[in-house]
Amino acid sequence: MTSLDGGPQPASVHEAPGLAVRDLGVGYGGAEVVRCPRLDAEPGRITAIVGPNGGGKSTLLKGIIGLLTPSRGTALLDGRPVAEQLRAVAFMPQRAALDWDFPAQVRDVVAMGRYPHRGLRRRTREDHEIIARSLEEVGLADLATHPIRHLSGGQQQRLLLARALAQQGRAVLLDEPLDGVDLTSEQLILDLLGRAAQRGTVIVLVHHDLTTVRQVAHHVVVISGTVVAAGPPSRALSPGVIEQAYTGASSRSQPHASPAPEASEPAARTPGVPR
Amino acid sequence: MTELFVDPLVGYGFVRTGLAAALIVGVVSAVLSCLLVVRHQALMGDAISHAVLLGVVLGYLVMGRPGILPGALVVALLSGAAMTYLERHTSIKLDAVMGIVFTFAFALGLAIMSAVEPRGIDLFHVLFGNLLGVSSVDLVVTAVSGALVLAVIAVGFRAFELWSFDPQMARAVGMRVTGFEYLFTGLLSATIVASLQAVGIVLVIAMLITPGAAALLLTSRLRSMMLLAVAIGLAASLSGFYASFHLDVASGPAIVIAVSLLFALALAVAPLRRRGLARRAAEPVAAADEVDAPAR
Repeated sequence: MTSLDGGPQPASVHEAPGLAVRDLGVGYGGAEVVRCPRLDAEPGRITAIVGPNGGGKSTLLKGIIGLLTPSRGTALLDGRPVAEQLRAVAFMPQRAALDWDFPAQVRDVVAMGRYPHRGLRRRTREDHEIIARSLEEVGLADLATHPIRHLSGGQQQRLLLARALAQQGRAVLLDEPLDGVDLTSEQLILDLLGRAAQRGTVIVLVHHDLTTVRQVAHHVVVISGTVVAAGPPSRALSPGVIEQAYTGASSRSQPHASPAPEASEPAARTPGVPR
Repeated sequence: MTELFVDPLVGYGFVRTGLAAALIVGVVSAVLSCLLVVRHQALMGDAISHAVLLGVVLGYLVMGRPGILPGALVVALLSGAAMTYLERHTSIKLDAVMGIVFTFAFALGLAIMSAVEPRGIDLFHVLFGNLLGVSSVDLVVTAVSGALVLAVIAVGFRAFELWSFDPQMARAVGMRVTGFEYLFTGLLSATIVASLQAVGIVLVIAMLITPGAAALLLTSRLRSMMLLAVAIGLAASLSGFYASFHLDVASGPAIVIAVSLLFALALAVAPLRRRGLARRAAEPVAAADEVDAPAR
């Protein structure tokens, strides 16, 4: 298989630590929405999945953790199928996917992060310590006993992040974690993700704001039906790649698997791609 | 006081049986109502309970009066499973699926009843309940199925909580969500059948929605919501039962009117949610309308 990584990034070998997606096809009811020939998310760095709407970013994420059954391919974590170690992967869903009128306090939701480990059994002292620490990390310790229906958008995202952290997984996959949050929450979330990455956690996030992605991601995968480009932000988000990804999205019958053009290449102004 | 509340119980065994059945129904359906309300599936109880009429009729025709509850349970489970299956495997959404399945089973039950005219079934009692007709066998069935339902929910509380709030995470961490949905449908069916005698298949709908909805107005945790709903269900069953006895009103309507009044009370004392400005404003105006602006 041709590596789309190339260049300054060391090409991952199959047994490399971290998340390795190989030839994964994911879709709904038999129709493949996205095909990912290769995606490598190494521990210690933040991997961002970007791309146009309908390009299959969230679908790919759901395929990796098995919320959607892949039609082909595999997702490996440290060389073993993700499906065999689900508790090691924390998933942070889109905020809008949840009912915030649900009768739960802030602490209750974070405690759900311990479910994969504890199941129906009684929570231990360690669980409670982890829950408390996660709440503190996201700055919600003061609101621990508040009903979640009173939270702002930014607080909701921080709460979901706290739950993901409390799971203490090897990998954290986040679907639009910065959607609808204020700047303070955004900075806090990004700081926490950076620190988690430094501790050796695999961080994969889907995000739509390329400016933010340039600032925080170490590795970027551009998805538009397939992998359009992958690499460090400076290369993967070159104007040429962006033009290709964001204009190609409307006619996805044409695959865009060719490697990215050079960043220096002048890109023509394209409708739908504001500059 | 004693002549109002104690004498009826001392005098007649069937009154004691009826009261016990009413209380069991009040507790079990209240717990279920919490899960139905927070899962936005309030009308699932409606659907299964209507379908149960078919089971009542078929069970009676096959085995006579003792066949009513088993027949009801089998049809409740089958119709619940059919709804869950159709929802999962077709593009038709749950509300439409429920409408199709329950009207068919209800119609079939009514058709058979009108053709055969079984002497042992009083349609009015099946639809609206007859607490004073609860036999001791019925009471045992009600108690056993109610205890089973409560035990499953108590043991699996954490799983039910996670599954209700975030089914995606439940699935992502390896919970067998499909099996869980069938299990839940089974619990619901058992509860409806247990409630058959007390409130009837039409009015059990209220017991499967109203206690939980009233409790949700007053609490912010699923556990306390369930406890409060149980208190509301018990109060409704108790007051409805005595009203039925003394005012000679059918037991089902009496209990449902009582639970509705308790809901109104909860509404009156609950802090009405202010449409929080902070929360609304924080929501993206059009998250789907994102346009990426690459910085140059």
